[in-house]
This record gives sequence, C-alpha cells and structure tokens, in this order.
Amino acid sequence: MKKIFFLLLAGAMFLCACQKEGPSVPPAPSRLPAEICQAFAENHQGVFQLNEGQMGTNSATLDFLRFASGHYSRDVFRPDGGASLGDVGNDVAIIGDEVWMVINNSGIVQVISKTDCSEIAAIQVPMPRNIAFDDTYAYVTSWNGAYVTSTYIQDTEGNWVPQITDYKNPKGVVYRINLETKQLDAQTVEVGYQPEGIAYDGGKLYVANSGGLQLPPDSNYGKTVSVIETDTFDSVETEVEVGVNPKNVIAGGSNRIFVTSLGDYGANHSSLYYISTLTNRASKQADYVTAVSVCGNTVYGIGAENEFDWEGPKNYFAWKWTMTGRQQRLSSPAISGTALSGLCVLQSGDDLLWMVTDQGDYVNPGSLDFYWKGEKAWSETTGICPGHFAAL
Amino acid sequence: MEAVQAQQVQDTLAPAAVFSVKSRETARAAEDVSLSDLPSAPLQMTEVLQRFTGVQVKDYGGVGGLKTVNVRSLGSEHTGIFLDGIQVDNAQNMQVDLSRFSPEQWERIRLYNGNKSLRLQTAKEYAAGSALYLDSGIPDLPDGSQGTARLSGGWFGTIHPYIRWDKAFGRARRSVAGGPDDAADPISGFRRMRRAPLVLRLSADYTQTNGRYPFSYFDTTLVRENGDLKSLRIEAALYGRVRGGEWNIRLYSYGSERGFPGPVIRRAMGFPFSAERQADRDIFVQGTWTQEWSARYGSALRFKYANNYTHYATHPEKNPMALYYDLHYRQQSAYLSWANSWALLDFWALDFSTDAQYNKLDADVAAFVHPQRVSAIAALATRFHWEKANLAAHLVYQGAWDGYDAKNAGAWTRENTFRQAWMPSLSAFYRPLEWLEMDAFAKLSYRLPTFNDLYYALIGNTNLRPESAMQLGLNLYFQLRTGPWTASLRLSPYFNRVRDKIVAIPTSSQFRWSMLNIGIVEVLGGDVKAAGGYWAGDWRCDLTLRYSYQRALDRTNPDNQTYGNQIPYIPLHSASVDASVVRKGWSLVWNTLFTGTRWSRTANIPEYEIKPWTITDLRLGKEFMLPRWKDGTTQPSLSLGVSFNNIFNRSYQIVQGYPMPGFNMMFSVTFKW
Repeated sequence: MKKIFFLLLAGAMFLCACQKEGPSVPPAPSRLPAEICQAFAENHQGVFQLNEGQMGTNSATLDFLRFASGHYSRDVFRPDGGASLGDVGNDVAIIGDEVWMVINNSGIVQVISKTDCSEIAAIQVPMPRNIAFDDTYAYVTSWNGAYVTSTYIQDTEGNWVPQITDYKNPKGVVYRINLETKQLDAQTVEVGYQPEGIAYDGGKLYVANSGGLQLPPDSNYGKTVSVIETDTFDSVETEVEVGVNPKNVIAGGSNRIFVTSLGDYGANHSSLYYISTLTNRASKQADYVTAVSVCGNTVYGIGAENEFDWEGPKNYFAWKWTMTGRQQRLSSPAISGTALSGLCVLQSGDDLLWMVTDQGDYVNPGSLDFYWKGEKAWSETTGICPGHFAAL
Repeated sequence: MEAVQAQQVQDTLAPAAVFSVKSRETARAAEDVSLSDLPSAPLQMTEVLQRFTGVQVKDYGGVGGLKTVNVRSLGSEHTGIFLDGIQVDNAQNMQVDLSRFSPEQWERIRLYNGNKSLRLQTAKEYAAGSALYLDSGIPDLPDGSQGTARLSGGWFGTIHPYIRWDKAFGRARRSVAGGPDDAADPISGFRRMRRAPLVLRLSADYTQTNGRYPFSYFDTTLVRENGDLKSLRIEAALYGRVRGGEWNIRLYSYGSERGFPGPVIRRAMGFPFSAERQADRDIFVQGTWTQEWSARYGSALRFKYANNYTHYATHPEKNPMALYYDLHYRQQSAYLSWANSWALLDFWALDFSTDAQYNKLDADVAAFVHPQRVSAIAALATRFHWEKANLAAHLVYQGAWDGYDAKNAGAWTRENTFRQAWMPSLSAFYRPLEWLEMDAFAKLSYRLPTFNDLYYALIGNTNLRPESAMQLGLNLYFQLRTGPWTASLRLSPYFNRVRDKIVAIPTSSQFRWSMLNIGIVEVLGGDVKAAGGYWAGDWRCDLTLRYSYQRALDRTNPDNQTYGNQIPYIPLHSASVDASVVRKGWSLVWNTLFTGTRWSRTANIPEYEIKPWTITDLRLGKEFMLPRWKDGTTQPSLSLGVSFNNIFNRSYQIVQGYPMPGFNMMFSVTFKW
C-alpha cells in the first residue's frame, strides 16, 4: 500500500525533455486538478521549485510544475553525466530565458535554460546565498567564510562580556557576474555579517545582513539592510535598520522593497518590513512571517504565533497586507503543516492559488501543498527541504 | 575455536567444585574471537567487527576515518566498549572512535548482547545495552622475556610499525593444583598459566597513511584528499600476583593528527571538499586488583583516570567554503569501581558492584558551559548455577548529577541536572543435552544524554531525558565434535525497542539544530552463525558463515509518512563468510562481507536506496620457525603476510557521501621471540 501511495505522489519525470537519471522505479504521472490548470495555463508556463537538500548529502534538486499538463516533475536538471545538482540549493530566479540557481554548499551558481533545462554555465562563487539581477549583472551575496569566535572576559565591573578573539574575513560580500559572459567579476562590495537576501530596484541593491552565526546570549544577529549603488559598485551607500535577523529581500516594483526578519528565536518574533527606495527608510508592517509572496500590490504571507515552539505542532495562519491597509489575518485558506518554508501565490481573476512548501522532518522528502479557492486542493511530494520558488 | 574457549572456562570446576558458581558465566558471548589464533592480523578493527552478527559499523573511510559500532540497531551510544573490563567512553558525544585501536593490541574480542553476568564485573558492564570487550590478555610468561615486532605497510602510503615486549620478574611458582592460581581469570576468562609474579609489558605502534585513494563520483574518478593520518601509541603495563589475587596497572597514551576529507558533494572546481584537521592527545591510566578473600568471598577494585585533548580547526585559508572554527576541547574523567561477590551456597552467588565516575568537559567554544557530571551506578546481581541450568537477575541503578557554569556565575547551577534510571534484567540458561544450549534474556537499559546533546551552544537542550532500550533475546546453540571435525550453530532471534530516542532536528535553518527525545524504534531481528572446523594432523581448516536479519522500524509518529519504515543505514539482510586454511606455517584467509539494501533516509523510496554491496578480502601468510636462542626457552619465528583487500575493486559507501577504498594491498613482516 505504501509503495502505491508513493508512486501516486511522484510526478512524471520527463516533461521538460531534460536529461535525467531517473529513479529505479518509473513513477505513475499525477496531475493537478484540471480547474487549477485551466486557470493558470494561459498566463503561466509553470513554476520552478528548488529543494535545498540536506546539507552534506548532495541532495539539492530542482522541480518543475507545468500548468498545461498539471504535472509536477521532480529533479528535472542534472549536470553532465547525471551528477547531482549539488549541496544546499538556496535560491532560484529567472531572467530572460535562463534559470539561475544558487547552490550554497557547492560554491556554484548554476545557469540553465528555461525552456529545455539544458546546462548553460556553472560559475564558482564562495559560499553563495541569494541572487538578484539588473540588466547587465547578476548579484550574489556570499558569507565569505564568515564566523567569529569569541570568549567571555570580565570587565572592570565584573560583568561577563563577549570578546572577539579571532575571525577570518568575517564580513560578507556581494559578487557580481556578467549576464552575457557568465564571468565572475573581480570587483566585490563588502557588506555586513552573513548577508542573505538581495534585491534590485532603480539602480540600487538591497542586501539583508542576517548575522546569524554569532552565538547566544547576545545572538549578535544583524538588523540592517545595506544599500549599494550598482553604477559604482564599490561600497555600501547606506544602512537601513529593520527587524532582527533579516533574511529575504523582495523587490515589489514601484519603488518598494520588502524585507522579512526571522526574529531571534526568543523574545523577538518574525516580522515584515517595508522600505521605500525613495527615502531608504524602513517601517514594520506585519508580524509572524514564516514565508511571503508578493503578488502585485499585495503581500501574502503565512505565519504562526508559536513559530519558535519546536516540540509541538505549529498553528499556522494566512494573512495579507496591502499598501493601503494593515496586516489582515485570513480565515481562508486554512493553512496547516509541520515546518512550512516557502510560499508562492498566483492570481487568476479573483481566485488565488496558494502554493506552500512543507519541510516535514527536514531529512525526508517534503511536500508542496496547493490551496485553491480556500481549500487544500492537492499535494505533491518534493525533494528534501523545499522552499524556493520561481514562477514563469 | 569458540567451543574450545568455552570449555576452557567451564573446565575449571575441579578446584572448588562446591563453588562452581564462582567461575561460570550465565550466558556466553555472541561473538568471541581470539585474535592470536588468526594467522595474520587485519590492520583495522572494523575488519574484525563488521563481520559480527547484528553489528553495524559506521566507517567514514580510510585508515583514519571515524569508525563507530552500533549493535542490533540500538545506536552506538548504547554499546559499551571495555578495554580489559574498564569502559572507555566519551561523555561529549558517547562515540568511541574505533580507528584509534588496532587489532594487534588485543588478544581477544568479545561481543555481548544484553546480559553479561560474570562475578566481579563492574557496575557499568551490567548497565550497557551491548558490550564490546577488547582484552589485551595477560602475558603468560613464567620467566625471561618475549616480544613481537611487526612492520606493516602498503598502499596509500601506509606504514605501521608495531612492537611489544614482555619481561618477567621473579620465577613462577609451581601452582598448587586446585588453588586459586590454577583457575581461569574470572574477568577475562584466560587460563592463568604458570606466570611470573611480576610481568612488565611495553608496547608501541606508529601509523601513517596519506589516505589518497581513488573513488568514483558519477562519471569521473577523483582522489580522496585531506584524509591523511599520523598516530603514535605508547603503553606500559605491569601485571602482578599476590597470594590469592592479582593486580595490573596500565598507562596508555595516544596522539594523532589527521585530516577529515568531508562528504563527497558537488563542489566548484577550485574548492576542496574539506581542509578540516584534528589533533588528539589521549592519556589514561587504569588498574585492577582482584582478590579472593576467602573461599566464598572475592572482590575487585578498579580505577581509571583519563585525560583527552582535541584540537579541531577548519582552516578556511585553505578552503574558502569553510566556516571558521578553531576549537580546543579537554575531557577528563576519573573512575572508581568496587565489585564484590559472595558464593552463598554451592549453586547461588550474590554480586554487588558499585561504580562512581566524574566527567568534565572544557572547551574554548564561545558561551561554553563547561559541563561536569558525577555519576554513580550500583548493580545487584544474583546468580544460580546448577549442572544444566543458570539463572541470573540483575537490578542496576544509575544516577547522574550534572553541573555547568552559567555565563554570569562562576559556580555550578542545579537546574534540570539530575537524571536517574533503574535497569532490571533477567537471563536464563539451560543445557538439556550435551550438544544443545539455550538462553534467553530480557533487559531494560538507559543511556544518559551526552554533553553535546545537553549543552552544545547552538543545539543543546537541557530538558533531555535518558534514552531507553528494552531488549528481549533468545539464543540456541548447537555444537558437535567428532574426531577432527567440529561444528556449531547459533540461532538468535531478538526484539528491541528504543524509546525517547534523542534525535537532532534542524530548526529554521540547517545551521541551527535542536535535540529532542522524540524517537521510537522497534527492531525485530535474527542472527545465525554456523561454524565448522577440521583440525587434523597438519591441517587446520575453519569456515564461519554469518547471517543477520534486522527489521528496524521507525515508530515515532503514526501520522508521519515515514512511520513503519526502515531506519537509515540498517540493512535488512547482511551476511559474511570467513574461511581459513592453515598448514605447516602457511595460512590462507578468505573473507567476504555482504551488506544488503539500505536506505539513507527513513523515507524508503527508490531515490534514497543504497544498493547492496559485497566486499572480499584475501590474506596469505607464511610463518617460518627460526632456530632457538642459546637459552632455548621460546622458539622465535618470522612471518610474512600479504593482504589483498577488496579484491574485486568494488566501489561502495557505508555512510552516504564517504566512499571507501577500492582494491589495495598491505604487507607485513612479523618477528616473534
């Protein structure tokens, strides 16, 4: 029974006409409900979903959902020889006819064709995390071997204070890659500790400095977004303060930048910040931000008030935020899951499709749940630790 | 071989027939290998252990790679490793790295599942879920001196010189028949030969290897880098006898420097997999004193002090993909054990052992809490021995008091720091016919959370409970001996359940994990071991066939899609074949090891299936006897050996991402005098 269950959940593998070394048992194709396919097939070819994989096991994979057929195909791209895509896929983005993937623990930015998943280039970048584009370059944030060791010493009043003992290139940098030549540029810009998300808007890059690797009790999480002029690309122009531990940066168009802050797993919960690129000032807009998806003028999100409760189930809820109003909790769809990680919302007329990734127990395959018109309509098994979307 | 050993232990009924209860074991070891009988010693401990039934060795590759042992899917933390009866442990993560021990240091290796119940054993031996005994043997030297020197080496730049020298002081008395000197050693089971009152043993070995073995990665062949090792071990031990007792003390030091090659993952061309290095310096001193105070009462006192230092660094200057770590750890432990045994009646004995241990871990990791632990174990055992049956019942109590330095205070704090467990067990043995034995046992044991589980800065959880293991097992032994032929068969079905399994769960990112007591694993298994031998004239032929079946299922959460699936890395079927032929100094040994299908994840789907593999090794040796020395007591010998490992050059992995070496050869020259 279990075998049949897994076979049913596995999608068809060869829809992209991609080179692939398939699993030993050919899975039966499964399809998204026809209603959803029809709603989106005209305006959207499909959605790429990148699975991080478990660190150290070479298990990052790229999945693709094609609306025309309703098939969700797992593991659609492998480099020459059927080798693995790499270890820890952290970001995926589309520019022109190309799909760019950042494979964090392999040190590779992988470029493939959007239409047939054929390999275009693999660029070597140390510890790359996230990617953004302008017309000429792709910009990649890198942790650059950042970790700080510290010890505690007593100051004159007898208080224990952290003292940095040693570090090696502690701050992160932003690299850039020429879009045409696919060459990594020698020029870099130093930003803060452990830079994560990056977005481009109107000649500027916005980089989130998460600082996540410095240890408690101070946590030493970062809380700024660095702003860099792409024309000069030599140093940070200004720092914008946001919530603690900022992670994702999304350009919402029309001079809008959204930043998600994950919080410090203690007193400070996750939040969403809005930065106007005209003023470079940030303001908090929403609470409990596990994942967001920007859809036109609206930001859709999922969150849980007990997000830091590791032992019990999390009580997720959906919410939305518009430019005019505050954060509004939505009773529909009723989102549920074990360890939700990513969100992609697509709109067709008045109806919304919520695609939510669930990482499950983090070491076994996760799932991609589809909520259509408020109901959980479908679910697909993904790779390990899904969470990164790029919609065509 | 095994049948003979067992008889040696049981034959010592003669001296004190009334108190036969003193020297009989309740249940025999599942595996009992006498390494000195092997014509040529393998280079690595794993080569011996991985063929045992029910044992899973996790080997990260190469001579220097981490090697841990997991018995009957309980988890490696439940297996106690005992060096001459005293446990070697590691409170930091409870993983004893077997790559630090080489087989030639030991005379005998035994594996016990569940119950070992011998008089005067330490309380820890009662508490361990399974126990692996490495016994170096007591040098049976009546006088003079003896020694062994060996030089081994081979592929991947491996060099391994080894030397051991025993010197006797004083002359052995003719032992009084029936006296305590004639009995088998109650701890190791070795026959106490006519031994000099004081024997000194010195041994040392050095290992060096470059670890650069080729392996295949999809379509290409790469070479394993940063897997080199240099290690040195020096030991000194004294074995002495007093009237009615004996004692020994041993000083052991080990130092090594090695690289960790890291998992094989896709890496951009210019970046290595890993530049991590680790240096270790371990020293311990341990001693035992056993004394028979009267015909009925005996005791054993043991102590150990160990000091282990580790330096681990990632060297990001050599690897731009490495997070920067440069950490120094020091673990110290002090241990004392007092075991008592009373032969109350001729068939009934009472044993009481109590152990106390202190562990401390220091490190220069930021925000480190410097954990300390005082643990006490008390074991009460009662044994009944009749002519054809034994019965034993144990009750063990373990208490552990932890302390740690909170950041703002220099003193211990006492929250969530006390853990205790009661561990009962029962075993019965029956020998209805001369060629048939059966025994059964039931045991509940616990293992404490490690210091890493509790206090590691980014992932620790001070609310963890001990992990429990319930074991039920049955063993059937058949043995036959006619003339030169011997045959034996062991059948061992078993059922284990591990609860509150401590599992690491990543939280919001793969860099932040948390430890939780959430796992439940149920294991249903069976071991089969069939052995046969033909010893006649010049010939010694032995054949051993082993087969293990293990269904180890995740039973944590019925709503989870992985419920009822096989847990990672445990094969459903595994088997091994060992054959050896020895004649006139020539020896030929053939080993084949088969590991069946496994999964790298609890999701047992084809994507995570690890295909079965079979590895075959061949060893050839020749021993030349040399003319005796002038005083003519012992006859020296020179042996030459060559090993062909993985002769079919199979490429395989035990742990996903860590390829093992393909075909390689090792040579050895051994001189004994």
